[in-house]
Amino acid sequence: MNRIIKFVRIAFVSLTENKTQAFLTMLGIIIGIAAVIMVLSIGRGAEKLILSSVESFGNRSIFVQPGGGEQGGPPSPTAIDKVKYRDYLAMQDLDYLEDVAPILVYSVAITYGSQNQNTRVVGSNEYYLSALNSGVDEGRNISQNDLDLSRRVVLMGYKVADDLFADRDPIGQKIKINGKTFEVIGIMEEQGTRFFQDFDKRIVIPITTMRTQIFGVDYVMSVLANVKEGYPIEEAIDQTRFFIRKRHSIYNPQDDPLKDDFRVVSQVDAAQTFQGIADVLTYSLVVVAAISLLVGGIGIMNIMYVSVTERTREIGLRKAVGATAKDVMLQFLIEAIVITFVAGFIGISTGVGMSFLISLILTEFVDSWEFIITLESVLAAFFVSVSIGMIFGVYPARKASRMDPIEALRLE
Amino acid sequence: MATKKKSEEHIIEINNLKKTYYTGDVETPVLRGLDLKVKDGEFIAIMGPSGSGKSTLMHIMGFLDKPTGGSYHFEGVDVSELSDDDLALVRRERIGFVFQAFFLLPRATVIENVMLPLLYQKHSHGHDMAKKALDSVGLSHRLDYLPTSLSGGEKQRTAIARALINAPSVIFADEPTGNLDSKSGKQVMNIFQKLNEKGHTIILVTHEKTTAQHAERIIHIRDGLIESEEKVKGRINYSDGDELLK
Ligand SMILES: Nc1ncnc2c1ncn2[C@@H]1O[C@H](COP(=O)(O)OP(=O)(O)O)[C@@H](O)[C@H]1O
Ligand SMILES: [Mg+2]
Repeated sequence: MNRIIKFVRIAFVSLTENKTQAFLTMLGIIIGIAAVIMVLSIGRGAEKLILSSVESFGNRSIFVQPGGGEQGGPPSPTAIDKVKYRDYLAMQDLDYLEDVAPILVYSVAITYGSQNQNTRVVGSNEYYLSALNSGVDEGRNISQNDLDLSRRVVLMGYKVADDLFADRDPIGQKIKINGKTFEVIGIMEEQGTRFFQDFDKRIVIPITTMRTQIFGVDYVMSVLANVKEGYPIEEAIDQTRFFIRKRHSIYNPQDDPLKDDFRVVSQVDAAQTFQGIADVLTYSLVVVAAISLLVGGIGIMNIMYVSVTERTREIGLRKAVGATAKDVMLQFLIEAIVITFVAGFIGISTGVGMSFLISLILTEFVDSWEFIITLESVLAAFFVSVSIGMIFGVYPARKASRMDPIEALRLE
Repeated sequence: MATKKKSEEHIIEINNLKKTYYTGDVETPVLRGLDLKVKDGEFIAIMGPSGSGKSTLMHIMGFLDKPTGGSYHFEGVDVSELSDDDLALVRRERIGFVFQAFFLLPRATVIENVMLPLLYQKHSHGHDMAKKALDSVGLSHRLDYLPTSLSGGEKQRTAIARALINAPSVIFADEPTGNLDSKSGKQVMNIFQKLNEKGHTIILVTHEKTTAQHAERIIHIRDGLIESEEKVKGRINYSDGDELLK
């Protein structure tokens, strides 16, 4: 035990004696560990963000989205027009659903006085806000009347309103959307960032107005609905699927999701889809980090081999004064572990610092982004770096331990 | 003046000792059947031309190498059966080595170099022991120097202190004065004589007649065989004058 402490001290001393060389030796590990920490931190942040996005929908929400396929996978972009406006209208008659809201999003230019900006406009109905667990902060919501008459009225995210009107009362103001005059009827409550988009920078108009005057298409991006209290959600999803399938004339008795041109998902499924995308990103970065660690480990092994050869005499001498093969092995192994441990420490610090910087940048775009470093990720990083020292230190250490003291001492 | 206890027992007893190196199909017989007895507390010199097998013999006697034939008894124990770890244990506890090229660790200070063997032992007073060892070779003023800033003689005296730290029964010295000027060489030989007087058995390997004259007995070897041996007459001895070291 005492000896191990001494070996550790010796290894630390020899590290500090040759800082530049030591740093270069450790670089691969430092980069790999820093990458691991960053990946885990950003992964956790994204996960948190997705969870809070999903929780912002009611837990009885279901979505009808275009594109078939497994629920976990991303929908096909070519299927974008498969869920029709007519489907939404028909869904209003399903007795187990309520608050059925269509969503159609389009990029537009809005003008107020001399101010111009581009933003995303959502065409929907009076249930849109409640589906998002949100409401109107000032003014009023879209009404059935607005929809029936395709009125040019608009609800605004508070950020858009702040931008355009500054201190003026926004209610009753007239703005132009793609050149057409709209009246501001309400400001929405703060909604934050959901699914990586800032909902407070959006505006909402009646879907009827959108279809007739802004974006004339026969499809919608998705339909949101709440399953009525007391009706099982799974059952509602299945029934809705059969309903749409029938409307789309899809013969699919095997219930093969690939044969459908739409999907019906719950908020949990939606979370899984986004989580799936985040996981793919995380795993690919983990692979990059692993490669860097492998390269770093091989680098350490290489340096240790060189060191063993350079220190042939030292090894011979140590054996001459009574070191056993095990002692020599232990010393070199500890040296490798100390190198990777220090590299791990630097890597973790760098990774934490970088993650923090990245989170600062991300909060510029995504308000609710959180900077998260878990204890587990730090411990895992230390574990990984020490393991690398052990794995890649063993062969050089064994070479050192097997060195014949005579051969070593005969060198002149 | 310490009185010398000379045991009649043989600490080292070698019979028909052989060492042959095998490189591929080539056999190189280096030691070809040596007989040698060394008494406990004796100071002997092994002399012979370069390549005659002196270092090989010393390495075997010092448990660094194993013979390929014959027998070697150390303190009455047949050591041919010992494992590598057992040999390391004997070196650690009973043997001290001094080499021609010093073999000091360049980045460790003098006292750290002297303490090196203790790394492999359970000692708590290492620092004091190292100081004492350095004191006995006249280097107590150089404790924190690095080897590069020492003279050759000082380096070799550091190496001797290192060999002393485990209070060895036998000290082996392979051409210890080979890299030194004559004054430093004399100093080093003086130290060996004093250590011998304190009871350490000294086995000195050299090819220089005058260096060998410091021992009590000289073994001449040639081509891996003992050619002759002689008691030293007119031994060079500093122990009376002692002008070099206090
Ligand atoms: N590993 C080895 N393989 C073959 N021959 C060796 C080996 N080591 C030493 N020798 C040979 O053994 C002989 C004796 O070497 P050594 O004991 O060092 O002699 P000395 O110390 O008397 O000069 C030399 O001829 C040397 O070349
Ligand atoms: Mg020699």
